[in-house]
Amino acid sequence: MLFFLMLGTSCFLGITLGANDGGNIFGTAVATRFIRFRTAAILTFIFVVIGAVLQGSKGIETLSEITPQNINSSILVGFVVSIVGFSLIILRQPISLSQAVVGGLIGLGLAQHNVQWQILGKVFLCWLLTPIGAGVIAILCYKVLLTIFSSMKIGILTRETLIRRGLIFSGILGAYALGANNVANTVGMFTGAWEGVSNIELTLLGGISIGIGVLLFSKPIMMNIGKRIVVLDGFSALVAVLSSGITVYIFSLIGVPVSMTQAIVGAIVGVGFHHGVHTLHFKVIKDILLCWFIAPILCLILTSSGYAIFI
Amino acid sequence: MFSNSQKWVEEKIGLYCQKSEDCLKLGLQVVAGCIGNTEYEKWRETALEVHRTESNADDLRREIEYFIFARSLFPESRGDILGLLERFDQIPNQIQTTVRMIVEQKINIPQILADELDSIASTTQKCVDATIKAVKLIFSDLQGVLEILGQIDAYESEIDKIQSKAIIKIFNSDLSDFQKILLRDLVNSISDVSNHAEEAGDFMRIIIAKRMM
Repeated sequence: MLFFLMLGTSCFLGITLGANDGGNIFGTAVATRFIRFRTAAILTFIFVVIGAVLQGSKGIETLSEITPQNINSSILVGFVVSIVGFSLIILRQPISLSQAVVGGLIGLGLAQHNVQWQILGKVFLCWLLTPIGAGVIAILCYKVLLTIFSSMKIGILTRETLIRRGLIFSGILGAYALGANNVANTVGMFTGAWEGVSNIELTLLGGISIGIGVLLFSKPIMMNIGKRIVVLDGFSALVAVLSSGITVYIFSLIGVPVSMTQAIVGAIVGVGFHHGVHTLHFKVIKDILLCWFIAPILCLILTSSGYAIFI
Repeated sequence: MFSNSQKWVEEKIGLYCQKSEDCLKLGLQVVAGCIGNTEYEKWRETALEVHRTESNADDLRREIEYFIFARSLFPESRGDILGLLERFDQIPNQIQTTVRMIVEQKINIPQILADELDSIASTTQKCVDATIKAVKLIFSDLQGVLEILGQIDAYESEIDKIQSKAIIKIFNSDLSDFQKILLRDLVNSISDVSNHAEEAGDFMRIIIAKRMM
C-alpha cells in the first residue's frame, strides 16, 4: 500500500511539474508558432528523461539533506506539493514547484524541529539568483545573438529557419536542464525512505513522470506563457528559451534544484527590458511573483500541520 | 541546409518579380509608342500581352500565398511576405490600368509631352528595377535592402517633380480642356507606378526594422 502511495505521489508530482515546466521550456516557441506542440512535447519528454538519469542525482542529494524523511513524511510532502501545484496550474499560474517542494520540506523540518538551515541558505540564494541571473543572461544573449544575426548575409526565410533550429536546440537544452535539475523535486524526498530503490531508478521514474506531464497536460500553459508577460517575436523567444536553459543548467551543475518557471520569467523580463519597460505586463509579473511566495508558504503550512495531525 | 519549401518560395517570388518586370517593359513600350502616334490598334496586341503577363503574375502570387498558408510555413515571415506581395502587386496592376487607359480611351498624347513622359518612363523603369532588386534581397541579404530602399525613394521623388512639370505643361498648352484632363489622368496614372513601388519599399523598411531591434 505504501509503495503504491509513494509511486502515485511521485508520479502525480512529476506530472504536475511536467505540465507546468514543459510549458516553460517550449512555451514561447509553441506560442509563437515556430514549433508544433507535438514536436515540442516529444523532444521535451526524451531530453527530460536523459537529463534526469544522467545528472539528476546531485539535486536529489541536496534536497535529501534539508531534513531527514521517512516514508510517511515523504508521502505527505509529495501529496501536499502536488495538490498545491496542481491547484495553481488550474488557475493558469506558472508556479515554481521547486519552491513548493522546499517549502514543504521546511514545514516538515519545522514540525520535526530538524531543519538544516545552512543547506537552505544555499537554496534561497540560488532562488534569488535564478530569475536575476536568467534576466542578465537574456540581456547578454540578446545583444550577442542580435550582433551575430545582423552580421550575417541572410534573408527573412533563412533567418526564420535559423531561429526555428535555435529554438529546437535551446528547448532541448532546457528540457535536459529541467530533467537534470528538477527531477529532484519529484522524487528527492523519497531518497532513503524508499528501500531498495537506487537514485538512478528514482531519477528514471521522476524523468518519465515529468515527461508524461509534458505530453498530456502542458499544452494550455505552453500556449499561455509566451504571450502573457510580454508579446514575443521568434528571435526574443529564442533568447528567452536559451537563457533560461543556460541558467537552469548552471544550477544543475551546482546541484541546487531551481525553478524553470523563475528562469523563463526572468529571461522574458530581461528580453522585455531590452525592448523597453513599457512592453512588460506588470500586473502579470506581480501575480507570478505573488504565486512564488504563496506556493512555498502554503506547502510549509500544510506539511507542518499535516505532520502534526497525521504523523 | 534549408528546406525545399524555402527554395520553392524564393524561386516563385523570383519568377513573380520577372513577370512584373516583363509587364512593366511591355507597358512602357505602349506609352512610348503612343506619343505623337494614334495607331492604337497596332498596340492592342501588346496591351493584351500586358494583361496576360499581369494575370500570370497574379496567378503566381496566389500560388505562393496558398502554398505558404496551406502548409503553415514560416509563421513569423508569412504575414510580411503576403503583405509585401500584395503591395508589390499594385505595380503590375497600375501598369495594366495605364495601358488600358491609353488603348481603350484612345488618348492622343501630343509630342510636347514626349520629354516628360520619356523621363517618367525611364525613371519608373529604374524605380521598379530597384524595387525588384530589394524584394529579391529581402530573401538573401536583409542588410543590403536598406541601401536600395533609398534609391527607390530618390527615383519616386524625381518622378514627382517630372509629373508636376508635365501637368503644368499640359495646362499651359492650347489643348482642349477635355484632352487636358485625360492627359493629366494619364500622367498621374504612370506616376502612380512609382508611388506603389515606394509603398512596397516602405513595407520592406518595416520588415527589416522588426528584425533589427
